[in-house]
Amino acid sequence: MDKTDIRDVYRAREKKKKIIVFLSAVVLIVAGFCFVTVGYADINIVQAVESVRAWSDGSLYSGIGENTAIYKIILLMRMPRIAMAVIAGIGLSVSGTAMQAVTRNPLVSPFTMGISSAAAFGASMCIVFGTGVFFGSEAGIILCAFVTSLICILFVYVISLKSGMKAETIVLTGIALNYFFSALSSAVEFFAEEYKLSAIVQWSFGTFNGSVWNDTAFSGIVTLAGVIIIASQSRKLDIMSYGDDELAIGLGINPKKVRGMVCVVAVMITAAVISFTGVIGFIGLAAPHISRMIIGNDHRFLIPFSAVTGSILLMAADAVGRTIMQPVSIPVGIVVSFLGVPIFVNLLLRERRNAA
Amino acid sequence: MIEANNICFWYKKNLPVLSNISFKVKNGENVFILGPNGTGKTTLLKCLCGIMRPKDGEAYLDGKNIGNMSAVQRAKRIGYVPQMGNDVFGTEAIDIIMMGRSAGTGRRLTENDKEAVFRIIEKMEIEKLIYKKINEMSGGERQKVFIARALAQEPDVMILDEPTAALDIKNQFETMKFLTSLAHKRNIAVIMSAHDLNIAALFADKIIMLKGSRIYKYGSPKETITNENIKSVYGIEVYTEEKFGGVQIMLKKQ
Repeated sequence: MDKTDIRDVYRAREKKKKIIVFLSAVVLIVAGFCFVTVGYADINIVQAVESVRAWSDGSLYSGIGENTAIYKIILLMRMPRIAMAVIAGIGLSVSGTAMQAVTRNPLVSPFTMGISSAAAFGASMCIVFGTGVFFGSEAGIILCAFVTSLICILFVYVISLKSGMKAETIVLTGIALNYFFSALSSAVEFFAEEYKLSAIVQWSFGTFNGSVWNDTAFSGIVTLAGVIIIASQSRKLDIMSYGDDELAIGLGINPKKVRGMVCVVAVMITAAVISFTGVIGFIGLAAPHISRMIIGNDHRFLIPFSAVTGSILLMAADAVGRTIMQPVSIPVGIVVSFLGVPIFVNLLLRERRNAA
Repeated sequence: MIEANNICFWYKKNLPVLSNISFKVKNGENVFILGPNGTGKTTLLKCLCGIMRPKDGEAYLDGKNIGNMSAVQRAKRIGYVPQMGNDVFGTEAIDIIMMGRSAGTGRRLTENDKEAVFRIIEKMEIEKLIYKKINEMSGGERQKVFIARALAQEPDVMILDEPTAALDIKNQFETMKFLTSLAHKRNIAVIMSAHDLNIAALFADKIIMLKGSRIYKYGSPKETITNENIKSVYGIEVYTEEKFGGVQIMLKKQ
C-alpha cells in the first residue's frame, strides 16, 4: 500500500460501517411498519402509516372515519407490541454487548448475572402470595420482578466490589446467584396451587402479549438512558474487550470503575425489560456475536448495530409466533431461539470458513 | 528520566519480590532487565508504569511521583507493552493501534490523531497487517502491533515485558533494532525485560541483573555479562567472548 492507500482504505471502511448502521436503522423502521400488518386482523401497511398520521393530527380521537377501529387496533395493540419488541431488542442486545466487553467473555449475556432467575422469583412470589388490588394484579407482578432484579444487582455489585471487581468474580457471583434465585423460585413453585403454577410458567416464557404504551414508556426511558451511558463508554469498551486489566490501566482506564458501572447499567436495562416481558433468553448472547461478525469489534458501530440486530430478530420472532399457529400466539422467548440459533450457527460456521 | 527509588514489593511480608531496587534511566537509553524466572522483572516493570504500587519506595518520572499521577497522565507519558495475551473477540490491528491515541480519555479521535497513527504504521512498515485480526497473526506480527499501539501514545518512556519472547531470531533482531533506534533517535527511555542474554548484550545500553529480589549488577553489557555474574545469577557455566563489537555468550556442556 502506498502513502495515500492506508488513509483511503481506513476512511472507506469507516464510511462503510456508518452506512451499514444507517441502513440497518432504516430496515428497522420499515420492518416495524411491516410487522404491524402481521396478525389476526387484516391490516395493510398504508393503514399502518395512516394510523400514525391520524394520531398525530388528532383525527383518531374524533371517532370519525371508517378506519377508526382499525387505527385503534394498530395504535393500541400492534404498535405497543412492536415498540416493546424494539425496546427489548435494543436493551438486551446492548446489555449483552457491554457485559461481554467488560468481562472479556463471549459466553456472557445479561442473564449471566442471575437477573432472569431473580425476576422470575419476584414474579412467582407475587403470583403465589400476592393479594389485594395491587399485588394481585399485573402491575404487582412487574413491580416484584423489578424489585428482586434490583436486589440481585445489589448482591452482585457488593460481592464483586468486596473481591476487587474482577471479571471472573462478577461472572461467578452471577452464576451463583442464578442458582440461588432458581432454588427460591422452585421452593415457591413447590407450594403453589396448580393454576398459579401455570401462571408462573406462562410468565417465564417471555412474551409481548398485553404490551401497552405505559409499559413501553417505562422500559423505553430506562433503556434509552442506559444505552446512552453505555455508548458513551465505547472507546473504553474497545480497550477492555481486547486486553486484560493491566493493559487497560496502562491505557489510562480504571477497569474496576468502568466494569462496575457498565454491569449495573446493563443489568438495570435488562430488569426494566424483562419485568414487563418475562424472560427472553438468547438474544442478549447472540445479537452481539452476530453483529460482531458483520461489523467488527469497534463499539462505536457495534453498539448501535447490535441494538438494531436484536430488535429486528425479536420483531421477526414475535411476528412468526403470532402467525404460525393462529389464533394461538407462541411466546417470543420460544420462537427467538428457534429462529436465532440457525442464523447464529450459520454465521459462526461461515466466519470460521473465511478465517481458514 | 525515569527513576526507581528503593522500590520494595511483596505479596507476603516475609517473601519479598523486590527489595530496595534503585536505578535511573535517562531519555535515549535502552535498558534491559535480566534475571531468572521469578526474580520480579515483571513486577518491577509494573511498578515503574504505575500498574502496581510499590509497598515501599517510589518510582519517579522527571521528578514526579508516578504513584501520584492520574491514570490518564501516566498513559500519556508511559507506553506499556505487556506479555502477549489472548484477544477473545478478534479485534483488528488498526483498532488496537488507535486505542493508543485515546489513552485514558475515551474521547473521539481527531483527524490529527488518525494521521499520527498512520505515520507510525508507515514508519514501522506494518501497512499489510493493520486490517488483520490480532488473533490471526503470528507472534512477531502481534508484537509489532502492540509496539505501534504504545508508540501511538507518544510516550516519553516505553516499558516492555519480554517483547521478543515469542519471536524467531529474525523477528527478535528486527524488533530489537527498532526499539534501540527508537530510544536513540526519538530520545525515549526504553526499559524491557528479556531472557535472551545475547540479544541483551548486543542491544542494551545498560543491563540490570536481578537476583533473589535485589539488583545484583547494574552497568554496561561488558560490565554485567560476564562468566562469573551469569554463573552467580543463573547458576550455569557459560563462555563469554568479545566479538563483533559486543559480548557473545555460549553455553558450556555441563
